Amino acid sequence: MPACQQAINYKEKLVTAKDCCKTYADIRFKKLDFKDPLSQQVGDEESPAMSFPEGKSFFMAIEFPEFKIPFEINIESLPTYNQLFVPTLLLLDRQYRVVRRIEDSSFQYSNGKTSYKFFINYEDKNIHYMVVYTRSGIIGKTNHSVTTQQATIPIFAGAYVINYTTHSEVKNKIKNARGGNLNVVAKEYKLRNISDDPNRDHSPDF
Amino acid sequence: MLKKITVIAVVMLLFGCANPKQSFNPAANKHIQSIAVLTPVNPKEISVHVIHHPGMQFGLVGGLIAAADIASKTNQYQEAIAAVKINWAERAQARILLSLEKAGYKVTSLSIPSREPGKFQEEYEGAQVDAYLDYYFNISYAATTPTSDYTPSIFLFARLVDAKTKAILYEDRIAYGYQHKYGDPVHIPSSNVYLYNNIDILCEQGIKSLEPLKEGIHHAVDKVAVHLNKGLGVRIDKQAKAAQ
Repeated sequence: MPACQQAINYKEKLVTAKDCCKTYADIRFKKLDFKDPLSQQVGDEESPAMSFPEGKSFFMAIEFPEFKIPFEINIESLPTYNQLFVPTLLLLDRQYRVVRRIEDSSFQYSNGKTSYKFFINYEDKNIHYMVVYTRSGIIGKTNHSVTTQQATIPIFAGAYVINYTTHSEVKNKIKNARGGNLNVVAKEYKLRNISDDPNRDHSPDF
Repeated sequence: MLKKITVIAVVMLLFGCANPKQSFNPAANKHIQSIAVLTPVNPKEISVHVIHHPGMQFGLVGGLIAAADIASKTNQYQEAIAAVKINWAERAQARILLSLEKAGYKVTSLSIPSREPGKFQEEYEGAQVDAYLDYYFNISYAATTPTSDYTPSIFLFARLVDAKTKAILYEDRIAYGYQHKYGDPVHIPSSNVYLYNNIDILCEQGIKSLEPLKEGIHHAVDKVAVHLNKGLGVRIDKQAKAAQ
């Protein structure tokens, strides 16, 4: 991680941020569709904040696509510098009532990011909105990730140029923060069949 | 030796694309009650890898030099652990059967003598079950560069196939220890105690260096069972109701 990059003071930003809404019905939800994923820098100037049972938090609010067949929602939180927004999810029905809550402990930390997938099935048709926020109790906890950095040096040998690439390992401490980078994808639940599967995973030998 | 170097060089040069992942949807697959778990092929050896070997940048000749270096390190390590023979496939199979049983499935072990290593089966039959779980894995010590630590590595590929429709109900990749990037696997870190500065230190550890790999194979197959857990959605619903 380059030394010039500074951690964002989300704590200060959250203190100065005004509560956008009193109830979930007041929230302006972003519409998610199957073609375009939604991304949001949670904690930036345009990010809404409000009070949740565990305290004030920046949040992302999503309206799900209209239900036709079951679909999968994949939420991925990527680190901004070394700060990671670890979400708690509230799933709401069309009347903005919380019908399901998904704890941050359900999220899977892997390769420097944290993610969670779930399905909206026929029995969940009433779920139409999602609010993604973080609990103040988990702020500051750390995880580790290893990244590989590469640098390419051109080596001139007469008329030839060889691009020589060196790799180095960088070990990062990723801290749970009040802001970060969220991506949400909706995908219709359609299964592949082994006959139309290319079976490309011929194992790399490592 | 030359054949081995050529095989390693070809594998290193031909890095393919990974299959799409498929999450298991427990609510949509309530009919899956019994699973036949295919026994994987036991890996021939625990290889030693340098993922970004500098030789790889200098075409085929450089690739052959890198492969020769990796083959030599692998051989050195095989000699260091020669006193112990472990059947990794049997170990993985015993654990996954147990983990799936705990997850609420009726399980049977299915052995296919003609099974090829390093790939999924193309057909699934031979058991009266609702689904087949197919998996295979590589086992190694891996280092990012020649000067990085050697880290234990299990890389496991798994898929669950509906016995009737042959639909792929679940497919994922699990990496224990070394943080591989191939195919965006679910990563399970190993303890920092199991990092070795160089090949000589790794070899000095001898059979002690097998301990993290034994742990790793259990962690990797347990993760598959977690992904196939039938109660996952139900558990979350119960929590939500309790929170209201």
